[in-house]
Amino acid sequence: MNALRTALVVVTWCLGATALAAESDIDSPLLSWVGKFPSDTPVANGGTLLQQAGLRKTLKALLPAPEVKRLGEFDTEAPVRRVDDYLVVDKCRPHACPADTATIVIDLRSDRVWAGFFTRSAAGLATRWYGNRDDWNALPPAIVTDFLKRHGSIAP
Amino acid sequence: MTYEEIVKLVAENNQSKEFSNEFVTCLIWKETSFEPSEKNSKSSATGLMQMTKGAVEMVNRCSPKGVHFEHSEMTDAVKNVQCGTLYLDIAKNKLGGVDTSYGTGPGYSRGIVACESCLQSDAVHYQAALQKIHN
Repeated sequence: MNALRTALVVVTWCLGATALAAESDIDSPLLSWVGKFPSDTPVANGGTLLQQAGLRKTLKALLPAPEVKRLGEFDTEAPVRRVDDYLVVDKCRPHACPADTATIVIDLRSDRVWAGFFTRSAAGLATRWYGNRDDWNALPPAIVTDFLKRHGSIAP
Repeated sequence: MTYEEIVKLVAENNQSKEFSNEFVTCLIWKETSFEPSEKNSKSSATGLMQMTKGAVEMVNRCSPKGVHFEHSEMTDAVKNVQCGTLYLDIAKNKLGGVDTSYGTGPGYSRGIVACESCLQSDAVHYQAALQKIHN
């Protein structure tokens, strides 16, 4: 009976350790931004999140120039979130947040990056997704749902 | 925050004598998409109603004794709505109107008023009202 109890304790410990390892084996400097604002500089003289060399280069290659300009105008921002193995960055236009908004998603386990934009004007509306490797439907559904809620396409 | 949470928050904390709960709800949607921790990276605008340091100081100057807010409290949704709705009345009555002293200039509140009117006539289909906010 004692041997069985010991075996159960060992198995439980191993499963817990495996789960912890899966959670913590991502070693990305971008994790410094979780809970902070994208424009924060958590490392002295290290720049903002979108100024990080790899990410900046990827976004510049991925996005048409007008979208890069638009993103630069989105000064209203939420703290950076981690959803599973992804960082989520929400930014929008001051005084028009649900009408002109963007979400940047960074896969912490690979070099995959997505940028989703939504615009609503008197003339109509548009959603644009850009991905350097995969389309938007490769994203976790929770991230897509949050994007839709932020501009009211589904009930906030 | 969800729409229902914002409606409850505004109903319990709207200090304005000039603006309806629906107007405030629509303004919060326009400013931050109901996200209480939003900040502006280039100004001090903070929280649901994007309160700046100057706006908080103005509320403190114009409010009766005992009413005082700190700008550092503006990510607190309750404090933000209390302070922000007091500021709306100051903006309307002492600063030349909400469009110029709160928003981006003439036309700022047009979508908010359309949203307010839509919510007052049909709160059940609130999503349609929120979609009145556009660029």
